[in-house]
Amino acid sequence: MKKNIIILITLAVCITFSNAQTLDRSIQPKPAPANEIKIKDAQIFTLDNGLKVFVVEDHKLPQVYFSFQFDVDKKIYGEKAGVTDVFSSIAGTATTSKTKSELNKAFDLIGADFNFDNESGYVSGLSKYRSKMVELFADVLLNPVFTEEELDLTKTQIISSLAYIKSDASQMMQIVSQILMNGKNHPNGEMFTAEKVKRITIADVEEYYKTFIAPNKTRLVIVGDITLADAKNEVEKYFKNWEKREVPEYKYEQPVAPQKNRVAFVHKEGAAQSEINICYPIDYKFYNNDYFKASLMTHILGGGASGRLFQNLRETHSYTYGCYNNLVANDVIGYYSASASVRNDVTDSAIDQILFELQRIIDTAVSEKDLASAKAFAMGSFGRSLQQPGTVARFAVAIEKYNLPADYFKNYLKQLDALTVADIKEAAEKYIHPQNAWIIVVGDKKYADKLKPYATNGKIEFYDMYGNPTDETIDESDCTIYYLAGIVVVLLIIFILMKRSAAKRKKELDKHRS
Amino acid sequence: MLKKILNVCIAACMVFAANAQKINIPIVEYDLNNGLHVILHQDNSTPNVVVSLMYHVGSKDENPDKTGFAHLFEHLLFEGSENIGRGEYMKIVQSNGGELNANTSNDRTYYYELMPSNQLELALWMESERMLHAKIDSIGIATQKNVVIEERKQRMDNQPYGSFLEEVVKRAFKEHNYRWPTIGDPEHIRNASDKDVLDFYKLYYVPDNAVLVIVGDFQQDNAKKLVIKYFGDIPRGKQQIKRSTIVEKPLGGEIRDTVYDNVTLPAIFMAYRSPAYGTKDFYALEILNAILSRGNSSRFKDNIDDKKKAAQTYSMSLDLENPGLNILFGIANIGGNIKETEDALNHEIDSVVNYYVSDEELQKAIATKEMEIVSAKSSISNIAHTLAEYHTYFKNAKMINNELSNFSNITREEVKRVAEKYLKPENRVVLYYLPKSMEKSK
Repeated sequence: MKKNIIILITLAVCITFSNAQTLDRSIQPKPAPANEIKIKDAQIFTLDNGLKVFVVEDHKLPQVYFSFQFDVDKKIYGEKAGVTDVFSSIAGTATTSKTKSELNKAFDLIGADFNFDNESGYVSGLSKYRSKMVELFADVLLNPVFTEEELDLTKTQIISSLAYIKSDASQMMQIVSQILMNGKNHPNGEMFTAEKVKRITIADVEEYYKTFIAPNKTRLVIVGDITLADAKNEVEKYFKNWEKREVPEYKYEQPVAPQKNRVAFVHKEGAAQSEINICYPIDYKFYNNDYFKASLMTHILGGGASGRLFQNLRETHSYTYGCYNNLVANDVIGYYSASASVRNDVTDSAIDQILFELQRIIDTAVSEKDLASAKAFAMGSFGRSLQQPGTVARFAVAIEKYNLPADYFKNYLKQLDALTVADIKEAAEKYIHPQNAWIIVVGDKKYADKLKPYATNGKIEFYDMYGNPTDETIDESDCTIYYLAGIVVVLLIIFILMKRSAAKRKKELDKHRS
Repeated sequence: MLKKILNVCIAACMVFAANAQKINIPIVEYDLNNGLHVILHQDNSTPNVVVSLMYHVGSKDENPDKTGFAHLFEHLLFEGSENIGRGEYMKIVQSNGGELNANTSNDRTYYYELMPSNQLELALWMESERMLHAKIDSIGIATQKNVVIEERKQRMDNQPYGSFLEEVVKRAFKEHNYRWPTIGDPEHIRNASDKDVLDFYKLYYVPDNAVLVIVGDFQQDNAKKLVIKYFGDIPRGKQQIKRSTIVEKPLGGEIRDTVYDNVTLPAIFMAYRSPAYGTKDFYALEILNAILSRGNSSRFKDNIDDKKKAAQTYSMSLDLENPGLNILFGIANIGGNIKETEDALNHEIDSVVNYYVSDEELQKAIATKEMEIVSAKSSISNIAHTLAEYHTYFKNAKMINNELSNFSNITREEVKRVAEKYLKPENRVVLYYLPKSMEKSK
């Protein structure tokens, strides 16, 4: 026993000593040889009714999910705007054989989580309860009942959430940005009022279900602790008789960016900060030819803590807790956005610096070092995204949906690595437009006057959060409540966030996450 | 050098509910001579690794005149070190394919890097630099003070109900250092001197006050070698850390107050003084919270939200190292009366205090917990965080393989017992949040 202790101490001394001799801390360690990133394949099959099914087996954890994605165009509802939101709220509350209370209890008894809305549906839970989960969710999806009672409750909840949004600057910004960028005659910018919501009937909600929820417009993704054979059995058993139908398609005039910069100001009494969003609509589709270079370019410009926007506005100027940008691809119309919550008295300076960084990435080629860093980060993110088995399913869906080559994602790293400094500049010239943007601020109007230099027309345009022009001398006193279609309000998030005063260094970059 | 191998591969020794699907997270733990505790969990399924360090220091260790320090300090530890230039820390990690972040709570401060697995050594070097000789200059301090103050505004001041926790804790605690929020008082933050910063670093950022966790794709021998290489020669802390031993006296009667704020919908917060994280009563209260507000068939959802008595309700406990708070809240519907929401919440509380919950409700709550426990294992970063917390608070990382048993043996009698013990009016702070316009019209 004693001997052991002595040896241990001697050993410790030796190692400490040898450390002092050999470890030169000033040398940054070099990477070890990289372990290969393996991308599994998803299994795909299609039912006769057109339902496409993607299965990814992953038995690491005893859980499984079934996720339905409805690939349908958005419809404009005009005087009844809000049908999709009301549908989303009521769908999944009752079926022909189960009351709301029976249904909820059945899901809760197995700890399963589920949702059904206008764009998607899912059920997830422990794999030991798989059969029960699928049986319950198939009932929700195929035999829904929409009740007057639920419609009434939904209307109250939606109208309350509108009131809530009026106190939340960041949600106000989301709404007003979508409206100004897309215009009110585009589904992305369509609003509804309490009056419009009140007009919606059960018949409208049923009509939505009958028109848009169809197997031939649905992709079903099954991921987790399940075999292909079991997945096939479940799908055959519950969804084989789901009837296909013709689903209408809708096309709209594309929104356009302002010809010259416009400054829009939304007054919020006593705002502790100014929310800034510099944004514009832009034609940017998922996985188009520029997809890789454009994502790399926006990463360098403002993708995280090492992005130029963060480094400039936070680390150099300490105007804000964080500043990021986003180039959002969309099947209809994409958009670009650079945003931050900043100290009131530097609202103008912050705008100045954001515009400066936008212009700089167009005018000056990025350094080889910046490019190499961005590539390394993108590769790392890609590798991390594969921790989640859902990523493989997402790849398979994208390949099918956008007609991509079968090896598209397997070649991702190679394609990324091939990008040059010139590619980044080209992407910046194409997608970054600091002269054709909406400069939107939600904050106290005391700070509005200083923003005049950024408006090409020399004037600050005041709006309410619903995109209606207001007279800046009149305080907002409107009692009509509007709401933007498609925004899901999750009040809860603020409480979860508040639960721990966590100092998030940077936004999660979930570009590659499903 | 391995002083003690506490545990190799935990298996087959856990008591689980009859039908539970078991997850096994095998871990290896040991201490270095300088007191640094190391936890390894190898998982080679994808080429990723997470390196994390949890320091046992949070806002409860602060001086009441210098609140917000633990969190300010967390920001400052991204500034650089003797060998990492100012502003380079984040760039090095990201330009090598990694992500990094940190967070601070009342009890601990947590730093992590998520890296491609071939960059394990880089992450260890960086965290060891941070522990051994972080370098913080006055420009960095001035910058981060402003950043933190903006963070406070973004999270609390410009967020509806964002200040509720600050308002609740200052009424719920008289003596315990949980009485201020982690983010701290802006005045204290502005006044922090360079010397304060250095003192704090020397006292708390030492190996014997930290746990190093590595989870993911590595080979054990290599990882152990690298840990010694970078952390082996970091000296132990020279001063004794004095933990506050304040035990907060019972609240001694209900406290009621109103905050007028920039909100549109009135809300009510009821904060009950509650047991510490990890105690038997804590887990029983968690089951009670699940029965009250988790799932669409929970009591709050069914009896309050769906009956239009509130726009939203919830109940949750703060998982704090010392006895903390269990918070119930409700936000009124537009045009709704907050008193009605309060009555509805009180009705539900009375019901769990006076009557047993049903077997079915207990079963639902345990099913919910089981699902939560499984889902939390789906990323290596979650696993690392859980291991770090279990070690920091309980010196027992093995708890990760035994989580469900905390809940599965809780009975209806116990649920009723904790309801009676904690959810009583004299043990709570009741806070109304009302729109500022209502103050004027008072």
